[in-house]
Amino acid sequence: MNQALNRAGESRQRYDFRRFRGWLGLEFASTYQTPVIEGVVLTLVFIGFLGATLTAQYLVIPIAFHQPVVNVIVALEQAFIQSYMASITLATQLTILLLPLLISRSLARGFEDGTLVTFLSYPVSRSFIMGLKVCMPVVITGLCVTVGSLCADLILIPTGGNVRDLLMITSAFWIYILLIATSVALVAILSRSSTSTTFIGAGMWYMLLLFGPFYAELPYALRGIINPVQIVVEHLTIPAFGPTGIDLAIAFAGSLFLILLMIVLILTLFKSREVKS
Amino acid sequence: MLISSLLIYTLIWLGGYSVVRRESVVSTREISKRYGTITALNGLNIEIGRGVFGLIGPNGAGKTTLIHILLGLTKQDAGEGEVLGIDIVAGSDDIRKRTGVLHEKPSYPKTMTVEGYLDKVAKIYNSSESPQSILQKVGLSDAMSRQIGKLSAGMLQRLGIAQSLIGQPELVFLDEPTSNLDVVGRDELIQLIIGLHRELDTSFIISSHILSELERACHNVAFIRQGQIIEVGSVPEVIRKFSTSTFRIIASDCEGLLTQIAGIHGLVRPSVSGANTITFTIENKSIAEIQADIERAASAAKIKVYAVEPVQTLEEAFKVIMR
Repeated sequence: MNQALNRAGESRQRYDFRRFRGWLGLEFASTYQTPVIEGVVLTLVFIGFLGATLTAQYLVIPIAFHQPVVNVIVALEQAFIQSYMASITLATQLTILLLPLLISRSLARGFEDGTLVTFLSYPVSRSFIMGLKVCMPVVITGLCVTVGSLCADLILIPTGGNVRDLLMITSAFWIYILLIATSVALVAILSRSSTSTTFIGAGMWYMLLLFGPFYAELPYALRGIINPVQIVVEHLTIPAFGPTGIDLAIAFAGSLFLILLMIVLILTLFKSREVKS
Repeated sequence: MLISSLLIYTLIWLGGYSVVRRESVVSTREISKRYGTITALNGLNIEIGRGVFGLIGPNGAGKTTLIHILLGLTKQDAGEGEVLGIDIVAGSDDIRKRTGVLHEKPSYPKTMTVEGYLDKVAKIYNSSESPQSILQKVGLSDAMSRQIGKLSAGMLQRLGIAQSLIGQPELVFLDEPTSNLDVVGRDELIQLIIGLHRELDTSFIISSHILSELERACHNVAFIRQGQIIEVGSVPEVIRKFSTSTFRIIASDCEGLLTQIAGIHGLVRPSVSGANTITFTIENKSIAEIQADIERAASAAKIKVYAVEPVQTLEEAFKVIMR
């Protein structure tokens, strides 16, 4: 009896895995074609090597002007901060641009061209389709940023890059990515237009970045809910006066709560809304 | 004893057979759906048995809405129904496992190859059917490695049929399957549906407003208007019921003849229905008498009448029903 149940369980798992592979393959092949993949790889390489370029510049200048070795070490330290900050700023901006583009391509375009109704006619729940269409851009962008962070950290090891910093900045990026992804998915469901999704999605997050100085007076924890990356950077670069560990914890919890709220809203809307061919 | 046992078994077998054949694939009760101020379905009741079934109605009659509700893609405002005995609200995922669908304006990932796409869909259904064999069945083997975006309209419809069949479904919904096709393409597709039904015993529900096709393909049809079923029956029954009094004159000058025959007693609602044809119905008089009157009127006006014949098509039945 137990053996039969085990066999049935295994068979069910095989069935589910095969279906999952089918969906993964379909979503990947239909959304992430060659130019998209090339773009993502280029972005990744760009983020990773920006730090190296800046570091090289900071090193080349003193050597070229025959400065003493001690100045080269100072320059290297400056390079650490400058290139790290530049990499993070660039990664933040690319995330804001890349995610709306990917979600618009994957989800909003499905509403427009009718592929979504074709997919929903197959045996699948709406929650699964939504999860797939939001998670794949999140994973792609998240991997991109993780590898970028790792590259930046490896480049900066001589001047003291460490695992704790890397983990903090990477976690903050993943939370930031989830925040952007869920909000853009919400825009996609409401607008059902790839153009609106890209422009509204990217636009509202750029605005939040642009007007950052205007809400600089707000408490760190509150600011961190909208931009967890920013307060982690401040925590790492100004340890004495910047946000504390408690600020970070509150900000992360607040962001995660916001993400959860948006996921519930997305699923409720997507399940109740009409999808036409 | 032996004879009586055989008789009982035969009756049971026949009874069972008849139950299987009569089993409903679709059953709805008082299904209603509104989009703002527009009523798409208005308390629709229908029982559809196995075989090839046609849903006939003008554009906007509610055919597509009905199919979407049956597949769980749209929620009805009121009423209930089953597809293959499964509740349409509680079991929509199970319904989609056992059915296939070709939408009115189907869209597939354009950059994927035909074979690649069908391979993924087969995995989603966990089907043992291979893309190659299904493409052979629908006559698309030659285009196996072509990109979907580069297929012709006819090929796309065939791909649509292939993806609807790859899960080895018991029931397939085809929503306006011939709308993008030319005459030859339509003919081929109807032949394909008839062949697939014979070969695989799959039931089909075809929604269309091109009646000549449904007349050839379907066993039974239902006429739908303003979200309600107004007539349902087998194709020959419906044609017989609604076309008995409709006739057609084929003549050399229809406009001229129309004025000549306007006053003939028993000839009702004459109208020019084509370049060379006048359609009319008869009342209180036999067709032989009316034909004689028509020929006399035509002869007086020097118009040649080639034929006076009954019109017995689904299209004529449709016109009568929809009046």
